[in-house]
Amino acid sequence: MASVRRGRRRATRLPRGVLKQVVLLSAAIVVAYPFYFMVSTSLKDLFEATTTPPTFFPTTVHWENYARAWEAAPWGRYFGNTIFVSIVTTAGETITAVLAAYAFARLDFRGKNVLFLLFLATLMIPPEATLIPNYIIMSRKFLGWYDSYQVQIVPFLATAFSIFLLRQHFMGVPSELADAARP
Amino acid sequence: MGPSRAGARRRRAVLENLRAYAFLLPAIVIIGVFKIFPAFYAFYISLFRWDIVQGAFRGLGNYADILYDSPTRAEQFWRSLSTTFTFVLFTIPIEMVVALVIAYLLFGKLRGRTIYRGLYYLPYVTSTVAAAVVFTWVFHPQYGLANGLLGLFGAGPQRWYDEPRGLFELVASAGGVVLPGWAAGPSLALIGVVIFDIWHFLGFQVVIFLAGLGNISNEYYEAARLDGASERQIFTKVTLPLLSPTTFFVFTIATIGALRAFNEFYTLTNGGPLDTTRTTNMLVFRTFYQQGQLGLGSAIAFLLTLVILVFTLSQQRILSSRVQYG
Repeated sequence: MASVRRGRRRATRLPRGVLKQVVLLSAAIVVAYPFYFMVSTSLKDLFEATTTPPTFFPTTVHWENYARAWEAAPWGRYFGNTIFVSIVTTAGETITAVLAAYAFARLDFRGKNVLFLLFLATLMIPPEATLIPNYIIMSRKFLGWYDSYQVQIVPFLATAFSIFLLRQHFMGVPSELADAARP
Repeated sequence: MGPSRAGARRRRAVLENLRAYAFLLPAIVIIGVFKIFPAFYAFYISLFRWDIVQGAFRGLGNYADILYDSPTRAEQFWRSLSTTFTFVLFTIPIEMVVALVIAYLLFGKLRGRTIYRGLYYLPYVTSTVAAAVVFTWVFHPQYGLANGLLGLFGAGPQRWYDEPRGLFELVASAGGVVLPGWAAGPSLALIGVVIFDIWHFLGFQVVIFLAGLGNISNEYYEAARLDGASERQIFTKVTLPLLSPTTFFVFTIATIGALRAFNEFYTLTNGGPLDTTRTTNMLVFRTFYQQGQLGLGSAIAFLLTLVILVFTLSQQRILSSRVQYG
């Protein structure tokens, strides 16, 4: 009986696997196509890039597009800005979140629950609602931070989301471990 | 317990309080200044006539204008809200079903699993703006691939992100039928943004669904197989119910995200053509940034917050009783 069932399952397994692959592959092609399109168009000349229907492979590969694009704008500066802002924000957010999450998870203090709820509530406010006040806060009237690095970094140095996530994680670590490590 | 010991305990408690607030200080300052204070400030601004500079106090006058008092403002607001919900209605169900099917197929032993996961996740980690630029090319009225594909099926070229006419209207007119105005459906431009959103966020949902599937203990499957359940029965009677906490999470997060969508609209259509993709968030942007009416803009933003809040809470209310925790 068991061997009969196993045999039948093996017989149906192969087509099922093939079907799975066909579905997944066609979905992957649809999902990945825009990327392929981006890369292949970047290597075409203007005439070929605008022909209909678009060619799948570039007839001649124009690597010089990249050299020309690189000269068209101060990309070194742009990429530098992006990397700088990302690193500082990520590092800062991690530090503030670890500190705050530790306090919420392990320490006892007055107003703990109220403060935690207040933090959580900020998750529900869409950024658009605070867009205008933040614009004013950044203006010369208050901080005077227009056109600066601070404006892209400082507001994002602490988020309720990361504090919440880390707190949940810290609460899962048994406190006996910390006790055992103390002399 | 002697007085000195009680004193020591009190001192320890004070110390722990100090330590806790020292740890919390950076987060309190940042979140307080850039999140909590602005929320109250936004409400304050919304009570004034505030065109670049602060004007007369209006109480709830701005809200009244938006909701019913000013014919143009009210018309714009309600239309934007309907556009927003149409967008959610067309995006979320398709996106979630496709993501669930892909995650289900990807789960378990499969050749090329890691490659597929990477491919599906690729759009999510691409910047919305960069990806949107590629989409304007794929859906370009003259050079786009989308029109090329339509041509293969014998359909005429479309104007996609420049097309204000409704989806159903276009389909019907291709078949020679003229639909009444109310049945025109969402504009083709809005459908274009829907397609973009599904593409862009699919990978995120697939990953969350995969994590949820991984949390279902294998014993349930074994027990179901032992009882002779078919693959379809296992999916509907075991997988779907046990996955419901994840499904609920995805549904909530995705709906909030779609209600607040901004970048894709700004890059793909900027609210046009003929305002058919002017969602409430885009209306906030235009009122505030392009027309410089901060009071009105804040009031619309505040109403949008309320809508999201009510919608999220009612989702929790209605659905949480149907969610089964393992």
